[in-house]
Amino acid sequence: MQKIHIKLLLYYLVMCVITGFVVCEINSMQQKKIAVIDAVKLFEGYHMTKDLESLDKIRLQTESKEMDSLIKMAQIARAMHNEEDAKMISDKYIYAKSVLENDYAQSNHSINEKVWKRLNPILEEFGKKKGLHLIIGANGMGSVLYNDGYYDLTSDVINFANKRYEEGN
Amino acid sequence: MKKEINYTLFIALILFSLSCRNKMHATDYVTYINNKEHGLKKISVIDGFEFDFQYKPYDYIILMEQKGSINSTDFIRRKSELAGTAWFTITIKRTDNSVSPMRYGITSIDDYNVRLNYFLNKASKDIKLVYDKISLQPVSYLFENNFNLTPQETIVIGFYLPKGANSPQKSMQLSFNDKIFKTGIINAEFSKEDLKRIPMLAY
Repeated sequence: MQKIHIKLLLYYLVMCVITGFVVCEINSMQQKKIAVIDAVKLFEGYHMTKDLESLDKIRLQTESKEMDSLIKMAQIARAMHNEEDAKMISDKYIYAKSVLENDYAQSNHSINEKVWKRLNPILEEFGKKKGLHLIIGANGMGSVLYNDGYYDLTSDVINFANKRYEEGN
Repeated sequence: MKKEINYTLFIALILFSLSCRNKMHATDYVTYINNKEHGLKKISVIDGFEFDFQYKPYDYIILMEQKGSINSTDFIRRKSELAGTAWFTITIKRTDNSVSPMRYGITSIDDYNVRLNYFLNKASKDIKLVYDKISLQPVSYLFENNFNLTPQETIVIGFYLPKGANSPQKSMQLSFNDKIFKTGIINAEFSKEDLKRIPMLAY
């Protein structure tokens, strides 16, 4: 009689262990890991963005100063009632302004292209390393309407990306 | 007397630490330097382009120049010539080795010539070395034009180290602002620990 009881007890014990194991497995499968990254913060916090911007800044500032000089030259020409020169300088100013605007737009486009070309594989690598299933990019355009910070890994990604950038692969 | 003892102990300590450095024969030494696990070769893969940055210690350079044979007189002479400089090789290729990066994605011979002109005459301005927080511009630059015989391009670049530095001993970062393949700034950091771990060449 006692033997039967022990057998039953053992049977229940084994069943409990198996059930527990199955429940744990299902639970872990259901825990899909998600992260939210602030794309604007990531872009601005990435050291390569700052480096590229500072390199282009010098060139764009020089162009901007040339434009300022043209304005002053036109003012002097007008003060001296030299309308012909004033018109010529104004034309030069309009041309320089369009060149500057164009250069500014091109610089922005080029920096965007280069930075995201580098960040996309880094995000993929980061996701794989952290075992994430989905990374949502919040950019203030409405893709993420509310984020309480629980899933926010922006600063982790920025640190990870900068480390890769500074050290090289 | 106490001072003398201190000096003797200090010199003994230096000699002891030097003797602790691993000595290697030519073949093993070259293998060590070329192995990226030892931190003297950095590889960055960006958008299908592979950029290899190889730091070249003086012994390595001389071994390559003397094609593996070691003539101790020439060795010492050449080493003193190289003192105070830092040398690197930058190799650029497509990861699949399908075509030279110079020819990848071009639509005309003009595009090729723009790239060739850049690497022959302009790229040196886009490379710098930050040694112990001091930014250095190259003093020697060579683009090895292989006329598309191999699917990779090689740049050899050298820098004068700041005054007082006989050989690279501190952390340094080589930086290449690529303006042709639109990959941005590519950095390669060589830590002082990895530089200190470089074995001595047995000859």
